[in-house]
Amino acid sequence: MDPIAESTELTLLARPALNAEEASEVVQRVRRAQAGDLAAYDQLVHQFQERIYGLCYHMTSHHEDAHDLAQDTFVKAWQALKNFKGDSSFYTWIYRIAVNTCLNHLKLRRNRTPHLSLNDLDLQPENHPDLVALVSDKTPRREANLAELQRRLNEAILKLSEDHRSVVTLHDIQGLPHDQIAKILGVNPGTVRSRLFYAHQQLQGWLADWMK
Amino acid sequence: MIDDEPSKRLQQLLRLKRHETPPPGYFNEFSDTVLDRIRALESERAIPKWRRWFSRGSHSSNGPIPEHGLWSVGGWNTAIGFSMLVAVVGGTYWAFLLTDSEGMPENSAQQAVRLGHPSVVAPAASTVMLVRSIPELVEPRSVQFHPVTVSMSGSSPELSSTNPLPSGLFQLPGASGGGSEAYRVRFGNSPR
Repeated sequence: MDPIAESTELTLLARPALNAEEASEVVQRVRRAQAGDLAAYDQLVHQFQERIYGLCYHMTSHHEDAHDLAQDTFVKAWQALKNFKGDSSFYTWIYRIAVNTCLNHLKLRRNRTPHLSLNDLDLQPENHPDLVALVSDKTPRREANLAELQRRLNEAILKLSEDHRSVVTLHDIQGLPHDQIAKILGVNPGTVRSRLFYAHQQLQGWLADWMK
Repeated sequence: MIDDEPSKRLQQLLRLKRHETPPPGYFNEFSDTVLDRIRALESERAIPKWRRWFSRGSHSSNGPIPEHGLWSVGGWNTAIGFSMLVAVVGGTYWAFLLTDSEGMPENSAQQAVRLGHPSVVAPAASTVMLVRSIPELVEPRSVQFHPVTVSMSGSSPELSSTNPLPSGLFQLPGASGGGSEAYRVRFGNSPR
């Protein structure tokens, strides 16, 4: 993949919120969709599909489940769209639906052994300073390949409680700020910070080999 | 709190997850699938509730029956089950009615009338009713008819039978019940 295009894609994935112009577009589309305009809703789906899929994927570490959950999220959002009053942004609202959909799914599967179904890491180590640092000569497990790192990382995230996993996904992976996460999860920002702190402590223990 | 070196390292590690992306073109048909599901839901919502209820099983069936057909596999199962339930309940009720009416002494009296002994059996039957206990009346039981002979001996008619009469059916004064001897019965206004 072209490094510039890749960089743009990553910016999109990690972008915390919408700019003013995008936010205005979203409001218009939401109003039209509320009036029953499926074409407008199609545009909304296009606008948010990657982020919602990403959220579901990082919450489940399961590619196929994430696809189904992202679809369920958009279908549920359509069904509930008439009740959307605009008290929060559409962005926050649909994220909340996605998080709840994922949490319900995880509760149903709580007794099952977690099964990873991961997307490929789409990168070249030489183009990413983060990765270069992680697999450099100073890394104790430099012989380990990227696939193992990816597996260990995902297994560690799956060990987190659902509350902790939600904040790690939304903050560390998707790049949302604390106050927005608080709105999505319906808790106060202090709770978000506290959950992040404890989640990081646990992850540092489980990924100690990679933390040196 | 989270700005120390291990936390930075951890965040650097977690950021790698951003590179786990689906293959190119993965989202090409994503929104189409979402809209198809929404349209299916909308059309389903337009169907009356009772029809939806009957076609509910079709969503899980991949059989030859059309998904939005009125009578899906689930609908048929429900209809057949309901019919069987109605048949069982109705049959039980009807059988109870028949058994109940056959077990009543009045019915045996009526059948006896049809057999040609109206003057003999009918008064006796009304007497018999009084001597049978309530549980016996409530409990359906089979009725046996025995050929009897009525003969006039002087001014008193006599009832005789060649078969042993069942114990308890007739309890006349002085009769021990059962046996092959002739029984003497009293008509309405005839002297004892």
